[in-house]
Amino acid sequence: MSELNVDTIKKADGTGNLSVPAETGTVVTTASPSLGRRNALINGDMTICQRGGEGSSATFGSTNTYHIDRWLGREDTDGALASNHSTEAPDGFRYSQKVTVTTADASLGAAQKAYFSQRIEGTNFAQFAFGTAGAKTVTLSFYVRSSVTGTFSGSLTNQANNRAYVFEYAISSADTWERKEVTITGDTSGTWATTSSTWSELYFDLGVGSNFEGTAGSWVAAQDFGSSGSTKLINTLNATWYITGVQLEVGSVATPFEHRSYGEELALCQRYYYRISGRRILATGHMFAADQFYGNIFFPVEMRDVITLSWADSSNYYRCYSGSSTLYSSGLSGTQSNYNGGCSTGFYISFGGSLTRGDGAWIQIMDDDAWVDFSAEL
Amino acid sequence: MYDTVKYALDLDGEIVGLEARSGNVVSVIPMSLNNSDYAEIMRQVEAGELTIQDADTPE
Repeated sequence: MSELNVDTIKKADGTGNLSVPAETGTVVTTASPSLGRRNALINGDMTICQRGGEGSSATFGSTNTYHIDRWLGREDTDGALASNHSTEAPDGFRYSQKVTVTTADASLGAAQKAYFSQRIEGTNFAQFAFGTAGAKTVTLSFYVRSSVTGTFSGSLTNQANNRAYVFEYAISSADTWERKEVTITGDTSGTWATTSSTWSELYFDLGVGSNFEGTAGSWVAAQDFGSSGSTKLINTLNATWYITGVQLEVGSVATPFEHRSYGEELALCQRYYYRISGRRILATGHMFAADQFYGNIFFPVEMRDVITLSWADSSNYYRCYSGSSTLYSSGLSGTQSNYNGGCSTGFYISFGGSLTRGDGAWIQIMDDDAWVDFSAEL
Repeated sequence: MYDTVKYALDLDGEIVGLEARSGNVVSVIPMSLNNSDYAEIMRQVEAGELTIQDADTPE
């Protein structure tokens, strides 16, 4: 039996390749992905947007602000950023995240920051073995376009923000989709997330001050979100930045983006956030007291941890049916802490009227603008 | 960022979490540091940026 020892096989014209990464010995081809479940990120193609729906808009807040599922924006500069779930996308994708500078900050303070990021749950990040001698090389790839050209940056950090790898990527043509690849040597130092209550974070720098800037290309013990001297989107009024097809995988080769089915991606997102909106049945239960409904809501998937229950609160948004009578409420009243988390939560609503204690009852959302959501975000 | 944060009671009148309001959005937040909303509120409390108010008196 003969043996052929090569590192790469290329087409005659030099394009495409079949490579054998030294660290795994696994054959990887950029032409025909066959290694499923490669992407450690969720909603990398920006498809799922439970909070606002397709085409919706939001504003970056000074604390972690979620709009598109799993991705958060944060901005505490003197500027302002708008977030849009955009249908502008490269071939093979339906959506992207669009960021628009609605108020520019041309002179960032050292402690100010604006970024777009995803927290990766420790249970999903553990495969990288960071913080051990066996830390694996990982590769980040994504599609990006911007009205501003230049060298942009980002970083991969641990939860304690004392380990960071800053990377840079160049946008050479304005308003043109470009695919970027960044290979990051595994970090053998520091403490890295491995559990459901811990995370690592991938940042895209949209404008961070000098306190959060480092040098690209190596691991440092610092809280760095971007590189010094890199282009800061927030400097330029009306500048736009789009991103989609974001993938973080083991190995030194950026394979094509791993498209998962809509239902599969939605379920992955619902581990962290689930919304019931519009005119729907919210829950069934019973009248715990004459003026108090008690019921349970079962989640489509098991959530990461105990949930925050939130609702839109306005007159007559919620209706309780029991027997042949109804009561209205502007909102819910609370959760039962002993029954919060996992696959369900107990909740109750206190009403101003009176029904029959012990009778069965159900709650209906009564307005298209009303919603109830359940959050176990990291 | 919330407009107000106060303690929340369960059906038995026990403190079981926090009730936070922001505009017309109300949130009931469990008192667990594994919950990122609670962790953020505690960070703001420790930084002196936020005070948690007493729960409403049960009727």
